[in-house]
Amino acid sequence: MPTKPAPNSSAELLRRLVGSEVEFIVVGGVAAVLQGASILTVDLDLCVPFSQANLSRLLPLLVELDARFRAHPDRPRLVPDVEHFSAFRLLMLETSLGPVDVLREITGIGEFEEVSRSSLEVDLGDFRCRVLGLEGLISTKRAVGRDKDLRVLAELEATLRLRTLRHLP
Amino acid sequence: MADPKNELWEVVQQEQERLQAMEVDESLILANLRLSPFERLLQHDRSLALALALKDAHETGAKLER
Repeated sequence: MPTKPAPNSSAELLRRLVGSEVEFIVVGGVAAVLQGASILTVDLDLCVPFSQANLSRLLPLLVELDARFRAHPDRPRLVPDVEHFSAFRLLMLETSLGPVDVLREITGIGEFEEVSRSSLEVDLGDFRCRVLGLEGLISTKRAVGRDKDLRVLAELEATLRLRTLRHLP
Repeated sequence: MADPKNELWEVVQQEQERLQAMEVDESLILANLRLSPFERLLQHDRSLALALALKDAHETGAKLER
């Protein structure tokens, strides 16, 4: 019988990433939520540089969070093998703080450096992190173009319009 | 034999439901914009936990605790 997924704690997960000095940008649904969109999303999507330096900070944290491969829950847990994972493009994980997708590249935008140029800093009280801006989220949803992305697209466009009307960055 | 008029009605109804599902409720976004990003995130996680609990209760027939 599959184990029940852990309840999401996106704020705690982000705090732990910042505390471990991992370079990352929040993309996907949580980035939209942080900017005001009214959507529900199950996983936290992160764009990260797959450099050895960054992986040597990220992988031990994921191990601490009991990360497992979501598509293969029967496989052994993730191990902090920097060399091995530096060639990966995507890690889809279940952690003790909720599901996490770690992405090298964002469709329609590019890798970390390009995503960084379309990102903004968000204040989360006792820490700050970078998120992909609404224009970037809209362009990637358009590029992916699945039905579920198009549903979210309308929400993102409305959020961007309302933020612009209220002179929010 | 299926009634073509009823079949058409079903298609129209499905399309209306599809369009309704794509509607955006701007009042919810405006309410979110009054919150801080941290509050938005906490509210999202609480709503998600509730949605998952409701789904779980529906599937198992269990009653939710207050």
